[in-house]
Amino acid sequence: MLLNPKVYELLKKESTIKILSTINENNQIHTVIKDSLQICDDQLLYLEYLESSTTNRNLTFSMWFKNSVTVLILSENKTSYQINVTPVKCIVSGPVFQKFYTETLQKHNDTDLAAIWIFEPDAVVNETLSVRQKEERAQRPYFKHLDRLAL
Amino acid sequence: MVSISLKNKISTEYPLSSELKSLTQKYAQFPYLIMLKTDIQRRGIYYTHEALKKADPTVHQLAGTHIFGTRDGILTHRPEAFMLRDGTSVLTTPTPLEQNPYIIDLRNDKLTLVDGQNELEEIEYWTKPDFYDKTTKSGIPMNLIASARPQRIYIMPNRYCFFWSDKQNCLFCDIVNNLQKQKKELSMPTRLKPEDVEETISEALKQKGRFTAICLTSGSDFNGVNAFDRETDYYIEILKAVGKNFKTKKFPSQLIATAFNQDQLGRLYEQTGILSYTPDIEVLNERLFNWLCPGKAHWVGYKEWKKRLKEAVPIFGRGYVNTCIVAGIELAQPYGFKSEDEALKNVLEEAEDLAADGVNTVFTVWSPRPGSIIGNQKNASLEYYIRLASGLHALRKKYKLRLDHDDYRRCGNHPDSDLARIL
Repeated sequence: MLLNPKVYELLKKESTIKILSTINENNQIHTVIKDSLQICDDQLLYLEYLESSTTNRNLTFSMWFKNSVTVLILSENKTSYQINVTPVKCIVSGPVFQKFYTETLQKHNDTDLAAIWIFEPDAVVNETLSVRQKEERAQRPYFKHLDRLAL
Repeated sequence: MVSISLKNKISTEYPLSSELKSLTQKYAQFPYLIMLKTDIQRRGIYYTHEALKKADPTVHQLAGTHIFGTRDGILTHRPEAFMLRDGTSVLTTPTPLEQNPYIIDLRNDKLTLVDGQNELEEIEYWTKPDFYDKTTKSGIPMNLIASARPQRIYIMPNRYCFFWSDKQNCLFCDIVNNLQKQKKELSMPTRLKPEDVEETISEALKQKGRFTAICLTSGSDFNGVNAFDRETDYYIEILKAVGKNFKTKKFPSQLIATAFNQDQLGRLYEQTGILSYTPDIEVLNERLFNWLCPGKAHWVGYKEWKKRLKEAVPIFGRGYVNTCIVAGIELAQPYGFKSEDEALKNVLEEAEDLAADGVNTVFTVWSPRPGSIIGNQKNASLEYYIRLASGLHALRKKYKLRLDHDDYRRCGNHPDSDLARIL
């Protein structure tokens, strides 16, 4: 699935807040801000800096057992998208790994690189409040308090 | 130009062989990719001509320098291993077609793992490290000094095992027969000089992001005032040479060696940068140890081997001492277990005895090689290996044992320790 241009641009912006949610083998959710979520060569990827991180462990679990992984992005103007993704590849060595490793060292002094995860987007939902309100008003007329309709 | 673009959309749905399909259903909590790796190692691999043409000696790591031989007896010119999409390494033993191995073929210009009519996975060959193209000042190609795994430098300082001199070699092992071939075909040095090792490691470390650990292993050498003093002293000498390349005294490293006594271990730990210790017991049963590992039985003994494993824990720490078994040899005949259930029960009980004292057990899938005494026998069923890996993983969970020095990334040759990724 291709990401639409708006999402694509938001993912590329440094000011965008990027959040990654994974679940472990006991279905516990782990949610963390991950600035290293990024678009590169038209792929959505995540650079894992900590080999022992819960995210790294959960992504492995998700790849093995096809569990859900969710990316949430939030722009400065509160535009927000949820992207359901599947981890399709984990790169831990080789030329691609070494390229990102070198870049990581240059960008973040004293930060190692544990893995590069490549995600394939499965679904994108615009979670911006104003957009969701508009949708709900149009589609679910019962979901409101009457006083808001009163004269 | 390095690109991360995937050649094609990756599918996560694959047609499986009937055996794999039924086992993935029966063991739904066992990762399919690890099951697949285990079965590849169990049945072996065959590279088609088209797949071999894709193995570029300037880019990929080709076999030849490994300490053990192959099932088809051919030494070189095949990829040493490949990677699956989750980062799992699969070390391969090329196997004749008539033994029904998995096949690596080129399909739609992609290297593809094939089983019968089923195209299972796209794979990638391991890439060669830069130091492979270099030569030491003494004129030895550096790929004969050290070999590489995706994230590990592998040094085999002494490729000769002295148990072979007394005809007490392990029955599943072909180390010396393989060495003779390597000497003849590759001019492989039997015993490395510390200065060549130091120089090679220095060169290897120039490649940023390439390695996370160093591993040493050799044949056993019982010579010395006390048995194995010479082996210990030689490792110290080599490890000191390796250590000259690091600014810290200790560095991520593993020593796969004979079970040393307390004095020998103390010297090793104090005088070198070594951080973990793996004396391989090979089989977890005293009666079978005496049969299958006559040299180890004669010079150390089964009970003493286990005692030394446990005594190494206060030195290296819980989880940093482990031992490897060649899984499947416990079923070798005529003296092995007659049923897989009986073998599994025995192995896991013995492994638990070790785990309770902080010692991890890992396994490699036994690959019967023609250069070994029992090389004409068959290894165990895939289901046996799945149950064994699950059992060892459960022990690690129960006793809270880490296995960082011998995991999917540092080593990559133990299906059970691949599971430690989610511990």
